[in-house]
Amino acid sequence: MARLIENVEIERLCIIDDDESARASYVEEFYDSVFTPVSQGKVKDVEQFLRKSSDTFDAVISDHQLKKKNYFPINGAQVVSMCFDRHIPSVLVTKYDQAQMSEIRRFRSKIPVILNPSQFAEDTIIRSLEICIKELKGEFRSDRKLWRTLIRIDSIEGNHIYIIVPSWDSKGAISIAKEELPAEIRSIIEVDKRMHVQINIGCENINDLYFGSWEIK
Amino acid sequence: MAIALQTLEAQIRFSTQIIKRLGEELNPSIDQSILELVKNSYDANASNCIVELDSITEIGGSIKIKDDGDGMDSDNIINGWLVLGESSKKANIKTRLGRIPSGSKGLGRLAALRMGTVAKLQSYPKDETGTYYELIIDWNKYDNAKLVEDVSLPVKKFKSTTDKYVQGTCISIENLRNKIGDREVTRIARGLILLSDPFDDDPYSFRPRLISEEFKEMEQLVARRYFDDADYHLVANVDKNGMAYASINDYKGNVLFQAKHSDLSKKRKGNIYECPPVTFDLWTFLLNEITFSTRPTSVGEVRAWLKEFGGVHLYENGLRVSPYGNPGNDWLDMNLSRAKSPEERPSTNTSIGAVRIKDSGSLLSQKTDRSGFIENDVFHEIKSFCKDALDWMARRRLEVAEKKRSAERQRSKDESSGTKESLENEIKLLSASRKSKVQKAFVKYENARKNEIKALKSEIQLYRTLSTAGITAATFSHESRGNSIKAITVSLKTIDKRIKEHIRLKYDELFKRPIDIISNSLDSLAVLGNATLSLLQREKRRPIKVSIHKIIETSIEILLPFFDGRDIKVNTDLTNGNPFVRASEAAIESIVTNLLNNSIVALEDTTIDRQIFIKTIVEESVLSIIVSDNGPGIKGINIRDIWLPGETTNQNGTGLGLTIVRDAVLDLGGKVSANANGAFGGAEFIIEIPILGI
Repeated sequence: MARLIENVEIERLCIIDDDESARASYVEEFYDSVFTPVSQGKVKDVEQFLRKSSDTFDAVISDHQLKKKNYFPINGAQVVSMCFDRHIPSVLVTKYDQAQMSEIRRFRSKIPVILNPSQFAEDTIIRSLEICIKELKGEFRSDRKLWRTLIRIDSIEGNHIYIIVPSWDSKGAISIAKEELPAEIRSIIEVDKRMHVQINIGCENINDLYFGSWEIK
Repeated sequence: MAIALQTLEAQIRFSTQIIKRLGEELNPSIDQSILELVKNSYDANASNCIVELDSITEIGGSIKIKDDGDGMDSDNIINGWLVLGESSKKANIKTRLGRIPSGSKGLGRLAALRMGTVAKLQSYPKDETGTYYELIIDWNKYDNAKLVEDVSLPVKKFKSTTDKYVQGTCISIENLRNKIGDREVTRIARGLILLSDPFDDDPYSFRPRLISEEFKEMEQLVARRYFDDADYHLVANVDKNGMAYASINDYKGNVLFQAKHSDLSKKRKGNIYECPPVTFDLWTFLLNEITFSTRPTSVGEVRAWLKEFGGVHLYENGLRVSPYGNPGNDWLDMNLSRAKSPEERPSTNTSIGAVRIKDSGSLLSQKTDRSGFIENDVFHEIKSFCKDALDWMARRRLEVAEKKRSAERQRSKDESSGTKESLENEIKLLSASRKSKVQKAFVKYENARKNEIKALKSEIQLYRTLSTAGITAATFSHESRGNSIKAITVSLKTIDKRIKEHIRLKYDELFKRPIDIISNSLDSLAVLGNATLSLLQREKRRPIKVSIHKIIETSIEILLPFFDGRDIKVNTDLTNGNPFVRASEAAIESIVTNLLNNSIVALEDTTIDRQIFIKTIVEESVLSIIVSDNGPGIKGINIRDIWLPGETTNQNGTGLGLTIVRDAVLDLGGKVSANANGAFGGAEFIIEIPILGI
């Protein structure tokens, strides 16, 4: 069986999770569904794995933490963003904390949907894939659209900078790992500096916020 | 195909405005502009270059830059010096003296020349003895003309009036448009001194000079060279194959540590540094009176020297590239690393260094406005090498510090037993009656001291155990939340769905309750993990404006499943407004969470309707947080002792919760008090904190 989502036929879902039981539970969830789940084993070379994708799967469902157990050489957020570059619809399913949020945000422009494992069900996966395919076609929801936005650097502490985005939340500072910044911006940041950045200010949750290009004056 | 009726020749032409814009907008400062002209002298093989400033404190002054280089003939002037925008950087073609040209696009030169209304060039070519060429640029003519090409610039040839052999170039910038202040002169002096690596020992290197008092003072300062007073000297380099090596020497030059490529490149898993050969020297100083007490130099002198020249300067093919190492420029993030881990890390105020790059392949390229290199991959590789070397040095220095600390502990122990022995010997010398009394007093003191040490040791052990428990709990929380809980949650949903599909009629009767129980238990389990991880969030340790009511509400929310599971009702009565302090969220959270935990434990022994009450009151900029319960109250312990570490009536308790509350409140400038039986019968804790506003 297969499902036509936004004119794209999706049947085989590649399930990526470093925990075998978690993978098995996702596969079970799809038993008797329109999809055929494919439990993915250990991967050493992600490029090669994705090159062969069309032979084995049509879409990807991936957890974020993949490196810890040496299951994948990179984490799920990066895998999903690489899938996006190759036009493979994909959904990140993970429960992440603040430290991971910073890592995920770096790839957020190419991760249309992040689901909590408790939301994992056939209908939510269908809706998520629909959103993803639309973004692959260049159709963005209002909360994912980037706008040129003025920001101010509130403080710099260790490897993080804290910025205020007045048009999104004039009081709360948003933490960004320095390595998330483009190299040319990293060298000019200073407290109270203002600059323009592309941000999806239509989103409501801080975890959904992401940054596009940074402008140098 | 259409045939053209007429063909007219056309070129792109430039308005004279472009001269103004290019020269003035692309160059950052006066000192940088002058340095551009001085770099031209370096490229022209000059040994000496003198910068003279005349009447610059007023508008209309002049600047003269004179060198003894190869000079220029009319061809060099017309097809080289006057051509703007073309980089003369052909790094593989060295100059007559073997220098790699610094490469100027001419825009810096333009900015310098336009500082006055007239620029005058006189050049004595090396190969045309007895003649010189002159060019005068009157910028007013450009201001009045429409196009750049409308102004002609005659290059005149003259017979030299002197019999002496003269070669070189002299540029005068006359009738300055702006004054040049003391601070700018200091910057020019500093820029000239640092331009040609004064830390290198080469006596024949290019040494530009400024005729001014500021320069003399600075030259004397740089000449003092306090390198021998450095406590550590890091010497690191990358060879032509990208392999890195490093050593740390002490002030006598003895090698303390050595690193191979594999030691330095751990972060990059041993991969080579993809950059041209680089050497990195860093001298770091322990700037304290004790270290300098036995040296001929005073700590103040070294501090003043480092203030002027400290930081890590970057030299490309022998010439300094600004702004690296300028005051306030911390391109290797040394100050950030020190702030993050202060022990044994140098800052730009306690160290001086030079990164020397030999780039004959033009792999690095400076930005057009001369504000450093374009940050391409090669530049990042160089930066990464320097940072790796600094990290390695920090690790080795920490190792030394650890050894010192361990020796210090042993020494204190030895000293203590030595002191005890000498005291006992002194007691022996006393008269019999005095001896007995003093001995008794001493034994008493000794026992009290032992008890104190014992208590401190046990407190330290407790903190260590709790830290270990915290770290382990965080790891388990991550793991269980990420895997086990996830797999159970998804599988439970699948079972629920299938039962509903296949045995719908019996679902409510047979399956709904146990499925709900597992689902609720999963929620509680997840909360356990979330609560632990939430306490450890790095963001929470950052001092910010903290809303106390918000922290109270989120702390209750996090612990809600515990309250529900224990049948405890939490009542809040928070004052109007939003009282706030400047603190870390972690500090306020630890106060609230520990007090709530205290009540949870106290209520374990009760069978009544368990309740916790949280009330806040603001009086004259002081916020009182009153946490009370309807439990048994404080029993079996003196109320003053409840705040002491390790004091608890709970057999499995740590006795640290209330100590943490007390310490956190004291840090915020507040105070704590308690009632054994408060308004609701159980214990009542009153926290008073000065607030910034409401």
